Amino acid sequence: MLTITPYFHRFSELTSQFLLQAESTMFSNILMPITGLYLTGTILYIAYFITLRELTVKAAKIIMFPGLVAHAWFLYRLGIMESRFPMATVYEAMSFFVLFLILIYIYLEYTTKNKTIGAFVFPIVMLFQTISALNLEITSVDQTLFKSTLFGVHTFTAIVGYSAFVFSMILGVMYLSMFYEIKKRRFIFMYDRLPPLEMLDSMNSKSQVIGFIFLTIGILTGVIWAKRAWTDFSFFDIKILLSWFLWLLYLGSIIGRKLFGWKGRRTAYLSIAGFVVLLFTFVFVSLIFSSIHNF
Amino acid sequence: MIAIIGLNYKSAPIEVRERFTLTEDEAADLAKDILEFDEVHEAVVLSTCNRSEAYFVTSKSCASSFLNLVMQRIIEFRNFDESYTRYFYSYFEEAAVRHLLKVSAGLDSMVLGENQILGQVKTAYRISSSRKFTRSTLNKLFHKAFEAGKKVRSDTRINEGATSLSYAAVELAGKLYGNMANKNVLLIGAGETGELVLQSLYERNARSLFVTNRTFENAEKIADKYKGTAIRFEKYEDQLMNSDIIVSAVTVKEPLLTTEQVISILKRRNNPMLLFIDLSHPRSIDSGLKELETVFLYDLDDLNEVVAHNYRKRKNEIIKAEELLESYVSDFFEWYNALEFVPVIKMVQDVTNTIKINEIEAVRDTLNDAEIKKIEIFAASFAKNMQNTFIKNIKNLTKNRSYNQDTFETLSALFYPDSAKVSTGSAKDEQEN
Repeated sequence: MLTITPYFHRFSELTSQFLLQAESTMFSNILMPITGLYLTGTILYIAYFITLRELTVKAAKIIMFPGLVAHAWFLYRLGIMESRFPMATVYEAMSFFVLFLILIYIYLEYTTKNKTIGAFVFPIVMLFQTISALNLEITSVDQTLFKSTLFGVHTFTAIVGYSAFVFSMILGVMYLSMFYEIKKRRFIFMYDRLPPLEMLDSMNSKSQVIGFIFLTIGILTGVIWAKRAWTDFSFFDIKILLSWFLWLLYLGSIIGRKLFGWKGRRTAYLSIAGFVVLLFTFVFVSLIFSSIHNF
Repeated sequence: MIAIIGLNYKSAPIEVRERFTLTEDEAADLAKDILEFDEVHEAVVLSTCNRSEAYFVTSKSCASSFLNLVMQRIIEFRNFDESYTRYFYSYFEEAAVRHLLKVSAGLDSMVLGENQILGQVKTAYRISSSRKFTRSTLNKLFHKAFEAGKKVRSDTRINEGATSLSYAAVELAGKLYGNMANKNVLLIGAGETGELVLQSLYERNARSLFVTNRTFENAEKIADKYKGTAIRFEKYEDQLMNSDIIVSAVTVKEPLLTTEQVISILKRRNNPMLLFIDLSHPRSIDSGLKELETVFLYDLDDLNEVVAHNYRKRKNEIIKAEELLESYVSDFFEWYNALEFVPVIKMVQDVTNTIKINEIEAVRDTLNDAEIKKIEIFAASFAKNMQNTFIKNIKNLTKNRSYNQDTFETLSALFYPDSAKVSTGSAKDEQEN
């Protein structure tokens, strides 16, 4: 028995080395498989929307679930590895954003018991997941800047806010489709598949409020943190101005609803406009304008 | 042979169908009449406003010409003459089984996929079975039909979507509002459709129901049924502001409500969304309302469009439903065909058991108790395995329907139990030879 011990020792050493190596290889290559799983799920959700066959949506969930788990694990490990919140680069933030969108969707599907919404949500999710997966590199960034809690709060609340706005837009689009089908008495697709109009409208409004609250916290914490981080910080940075514009837009929508009874289509149009501004802020500015807020 | 003779809304006009509509007792009497034929062993009679059908089982040797005699009996039941045969159809064997399953699943109904027919089929079966008019064949067949009817409705969308005007109106309200619990309903006028809408909304827990009518007593009558409130016709406009769903079923010369009226109401409302259901003909609500953004006005044409759309959707489910039914048809025939071979299977069992017992007896005297025990165990196992092999193979024959009358006779000859008279010491004889 005693003679086995050194062999056992060596064996467990080799095993753990192997596992670490495997994990590291998996880690750097995990994003494409995850994207593949998400893509399959998206196609299945669209198939469900068209055919309404329960099997397609069940298959979608079974296929996407491991992807989701792997995705969450990836971000967690990234954070551990780099000893920071995994949101320092555009693409990391986007990856986190995708994860959050999916979690919100799961909640939405559970509460409304409606699975056709997935056909609207997942294409958007895929858009961001593809961009993120193709470009994400595991890099170390200047540690001090990104280790602070304030940074964590800022990025986190910004991402939650943006997720809420994305859902608001999707709900707005669904509202308008449903509205036109009922109004024009042309029952093509939406009439049979979407939740009731009033529900779409109230969910949209709730999303806008949640998004607005998180955006407010996000902007404020961002401003405070940036002042500490960068010396040449200016309130007139293009990215920050656009964020305030976005903030005003949603404020307008919420006030309009509360005070002037702007509901239904107006809320829907505003949520779409908000999304366009959001997209512009996020994408265009990064590509075209140079900004201290590099993403 | 399983057979059906009947008429339905496709084969006979309403004047003829009416005359063949039977009460429960009459259906039982007709079934009893049909059973008076020696050749008929089981009978069930189904009678609804859209169909009357007799399902019965005859002996195997019956030819299909026998059905004419049964048809005569059915027609005589109502004292009609020969000319009525042209309204009837008949099916036998596979076609009959398939027809019953289709009827059960609502595929043969005037309103495709309707649910009521399944209950009616169950009642018809109960009437016969409680009087012992059915035996194993119809018992099995009808239970399969109930299963199939349930399965088609749960696995396809054949029964989904409103197919009547009142349900279409309620369905629409559901698409707009979702939850009715905080919605107020106002019914202007009376009439079956309007009342049905009110009833459905009541069942969906609408917050409050108001009814108004030129004759106050009529409004009260309806309101009482659904725990609502009756309003005098002169005063109903006050209620408009608080109503979310307004159903109008009145006869008027001019529109009850004008666009200007509604616009001013909308200004004072919390929720700008408003649903008008105009069940009147001619229309009682100004169709200009359709232009307003937050107002939804559906008249009879619009509701018919909803119904037509839902009907098209149901039709798309027919193929799926029929495929489902086929598996039940096959299941039933697997059982039904195997029935023929029940006597053969019994023969197999008898023969092998007889041989087993005889052989054990033959050697009992030459063995001690322990050895006898072992032999008994061996013999039982051997006989059982042989039995099961033969029985399994016979059942496979019935599954593939690869047999004919000759097969049956051959098998009966092979396993005829009298041939199992085995003399003692037969084994010794063999050795000596």
